Amino acid sequence: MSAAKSRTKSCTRADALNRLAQARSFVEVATLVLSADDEAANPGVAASLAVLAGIAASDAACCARLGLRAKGDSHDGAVAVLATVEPHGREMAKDLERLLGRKDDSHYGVTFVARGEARRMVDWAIRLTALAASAVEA
Amino acid sequence: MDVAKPISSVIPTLDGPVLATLAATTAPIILSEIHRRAGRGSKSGVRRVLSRMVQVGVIHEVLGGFVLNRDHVAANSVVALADLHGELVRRIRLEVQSSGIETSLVGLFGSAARHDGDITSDIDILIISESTDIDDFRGHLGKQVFLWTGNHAQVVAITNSELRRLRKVNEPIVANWNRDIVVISGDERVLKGGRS
Repeated sequence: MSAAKSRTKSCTRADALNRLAQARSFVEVATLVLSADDEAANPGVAASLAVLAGIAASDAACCARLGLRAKGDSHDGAVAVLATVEPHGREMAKDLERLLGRKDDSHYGVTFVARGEARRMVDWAIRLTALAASAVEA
Repeated sequence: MDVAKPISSVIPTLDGPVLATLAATTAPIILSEIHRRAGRGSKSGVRRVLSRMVQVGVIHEVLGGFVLNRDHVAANSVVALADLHGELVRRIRLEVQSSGIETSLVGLFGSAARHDGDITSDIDILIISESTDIDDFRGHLGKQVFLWTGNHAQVVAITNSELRRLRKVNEPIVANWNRDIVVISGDERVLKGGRS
């Protein structure tokens, strides 16, 4: 799906700063959950937080650089819009696509999320958030 | 430097914001959307800029709108001029790192962070540090920022205990920092009392 055909909504630089702060918080908590040394360290929770971080980071980059963000539930649309951001759009879109591809498994608990898988998802969210931060700085 | 549209410092006509708008995306953008995102000039003015830029090949008119021709010999220069905010942040980050001074947080705030000032705006920088060398560094950084941008820098350097006191008395500046901060290094949650 092209970015032009995606459903989008206008947003501001203030939205970008706010969403970036949220992405960082989600990443922080996801990392904490993963590092807990007991059964409370539910990989599914960390995975869900990684997805939320990815969506927030994507919004931050899109709002800062494009003045708009994807709206609605279309994963393809969100990835397509993010891919058009300069700088780092394609790299960020790749990580977002991976995260959104696992969204249902992690959010709705349909499938067990292994610790290794959750760790990879948190790593993608960390990278996506860092790239979004540099897009916000630009 | 115009802190709202830094490219306008070098390209003061409407061409600057139009090029910066197209440099921020690889997707084609229609005229009315370029006009909205550029935030300056009239729609007919933007149309004239696009027409001229298409003629010299810097911009391509494609299905769905206009794109920056990233193969053009001028494209890299356009992208660099559209990224002056990013360049400023990277230089400040490097300066902080090479100083060796321990900081909990360094960030931009005010109009430079919000991108809503002009050429007369100060560049506001917040540093939270316990270092005894911070005053010297603050002066040095202010001079560097002026050299890099032509704008005066207001470098606010405070300790964590000073921050706690400001939070306690509900100093309005703390709300501004929380709202606007663009983190250059460190963790913004320091502002809310965590990670000091």
